[in-house]
Amino acid sequence: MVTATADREFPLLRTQVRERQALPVEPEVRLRALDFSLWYRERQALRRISLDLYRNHVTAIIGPSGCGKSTFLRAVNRMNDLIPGVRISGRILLDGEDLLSPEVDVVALRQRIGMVFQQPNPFPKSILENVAYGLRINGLARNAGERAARVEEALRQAALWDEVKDRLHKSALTLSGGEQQRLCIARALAVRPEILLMDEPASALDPISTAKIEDLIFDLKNSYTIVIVTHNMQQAARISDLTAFLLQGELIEYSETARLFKTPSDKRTEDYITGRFG
Amino acid sequence: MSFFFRRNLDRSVRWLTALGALGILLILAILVGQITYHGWGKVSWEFLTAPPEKGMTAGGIFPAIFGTAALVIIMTVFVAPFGALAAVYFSEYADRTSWTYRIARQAVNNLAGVPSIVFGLFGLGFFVQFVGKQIDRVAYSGSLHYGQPALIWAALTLAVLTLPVVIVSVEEALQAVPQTYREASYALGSTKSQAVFRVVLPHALPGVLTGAILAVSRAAGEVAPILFVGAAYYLPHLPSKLNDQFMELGYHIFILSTQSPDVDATKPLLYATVFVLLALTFALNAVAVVIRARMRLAQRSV
Repeated sequence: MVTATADREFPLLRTQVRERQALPVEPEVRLRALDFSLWYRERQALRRISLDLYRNHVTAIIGPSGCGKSTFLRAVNRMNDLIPGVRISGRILLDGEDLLSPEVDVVALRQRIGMVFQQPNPFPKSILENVAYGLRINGLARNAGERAARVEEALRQAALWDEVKDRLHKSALTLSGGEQQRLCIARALAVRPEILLMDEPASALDPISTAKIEDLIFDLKNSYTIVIVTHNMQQAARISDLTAFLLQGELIEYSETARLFKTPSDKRTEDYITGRFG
Repeated sequence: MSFFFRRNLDRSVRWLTALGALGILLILAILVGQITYHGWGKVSWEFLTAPPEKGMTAGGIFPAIFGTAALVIIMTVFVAPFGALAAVYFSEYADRTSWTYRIARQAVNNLAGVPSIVFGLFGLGFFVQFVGKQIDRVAYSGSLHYGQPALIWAALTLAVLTLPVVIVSVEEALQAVPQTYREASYALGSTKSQAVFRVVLPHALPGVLTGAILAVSRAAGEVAPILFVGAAYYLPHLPSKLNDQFMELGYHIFILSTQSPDVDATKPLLYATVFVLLALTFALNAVAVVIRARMRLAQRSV
C-alpha cells in the first residue's frame, strides 16, 4: 500500500527531495510479475521476481551493474525475445493475462508498452518522421492532419514542442543529446502506450537535460504507468513512488521509495544505498 | 641485442615496408601513365561514337561501349535486388551462430573465389544450353532464339559472378546499422520486416548502392565469363533485343591485341580502348565513393 509522503528527506542518501502531492490511496495494479525467472543460456539472470506495478505511479528499479534490472525491463515488453538462448519461467500479468505466453501478439503488446533506451536513439529521419514512425507502422492516424495532431500532442507531452515546432523537417540528429532523448520519449508516447519503460533514460545526459527528463517523468505519471531503471539512487529518490532493489538477479526489497531509502528493512539494501558496495 | 642494433633493425623494417607500398604505387603509375600517354591522343569524339572500320585498323569503339553499358545495366537489374535480398537474409534473419549460416556464408566466399572462366563455362552450360534451349522448346517450338549466346545470358552470367560482391558489401552495410535502431523500431510495435525495410535498409542505402556500383565496375572489366555466352568479334549493328549478341570493351581489347591484320595500325586504337575502359572503371569507383559520402552527409542533415 502506498501512502502520501510529505517528508522527503533521506538521511541515508544525504539528499533532499521536493515535496509532492499525495498519491491516490488505493493504487490499481497495472502489471504483476509472479515468480519470474530468466536465464541467458546457463546463467540465471533473474530469480523468482514477484512485484506489482501501479497505475499512475513511477517505480524505480535500482541495483548494481549486472543485477538484472535492465533484463527485467526488457522482459516486460518482450525485447528479450530478440536474444538467442534466453529461457524464462514464471508469469508477468498485464490486465490479468500472461504477456509471456507464446500466443501473445508481441507486436501489439509493444504498442501498449513503450520503451525509452539508455542512449538516445532517434532514427536518422526528420523530427516529424521520428514521432510519426510508430503511427505509420501501426496504421494509426492515417490522414496527414490527424497525424500532425498526434505528433504535436506527443511532442508537447515530452516538453519538446516549443523547441522544435519551427524545424520539424530537420534531421533529428541535429538535436542535442537531451533533446534527442525527449524526442525518443515523444516517439514512444505517440502510439499512446499504457506503460512506459525507461532504461536509464538520463545516464547519457548532462545535469540540465537530466533535470528536464526528471520533470517530464514526474508530469507523465498522471497519464502513464512508468518503470525506470536507474543507476542513480538520488534520481530514484527524486522521481519515484516505489523502489525495487535488485541484487544478483534477486529482488531484495520493494517498497515505497521513502521507506526504502529511509528505513530499509534489509541489510543489503542499506549497504547499497549508503554506498558500501556497488 | 644492443640498443643500436634494435634501433637499426626497427628502421630497416620501416623502410622495407615503405618500399613495398612504394612499389605498388610505382606499378600503378607506370600502368596508368603508359596507357594515358599512348592512348589519350587517339581518344576523340569520333573514336567514341564511330564503329570500327577496315578490319579493326581504323574507326572507333562505339558498339563496344554501347554493348558494355547494356550488359552491365541488365546485369545490375538482376544482381542488385537478388544480392540485397540475400544480404538482408544473412544479416537480419539467419541465425548467425548456426552451422547452416556458416556454410551458406562460406559458399558465398567460395563463389567469389571461383575463376571467372569457370563462370563463363557455367553460363554456357546452364543459361545457353539449358535455360535457353528450354525457352526455345517451350515458347518457340524448337527454333533457335534463346538457345544461343546472347546479351541476356552474358548479363546473367556476370550477375552470378558479381553476386558475392553485392552480398558482402550490402551485408556489411546492414551490419553497420546500430542495433539500437532495430530495438527502437521493435519497441514501437513494428514487425521485423517493418524494421528492416523502414529503418535498417534506408540507413544502409549508401552501402547498397556502393555494392551495386562495385559490382558494375568489376563486371565492366571482365572478359573471360562472356567469351562463350554472347560477346561478338564484330557486329555491323547494335544489339536491340535481349537475345542479340553484342560487342564489349574488354573483349574488343582482346580482339584488337590478338586478331588484327595490321598490328602497327591497330596499336594506337588498342591503347585508346584500354584507356577508355580504365577511365570508365575508375569513374564508376569514384561515383561509388561520392555517393557513399554524400548519402552519409544527407542522413546527418536530412
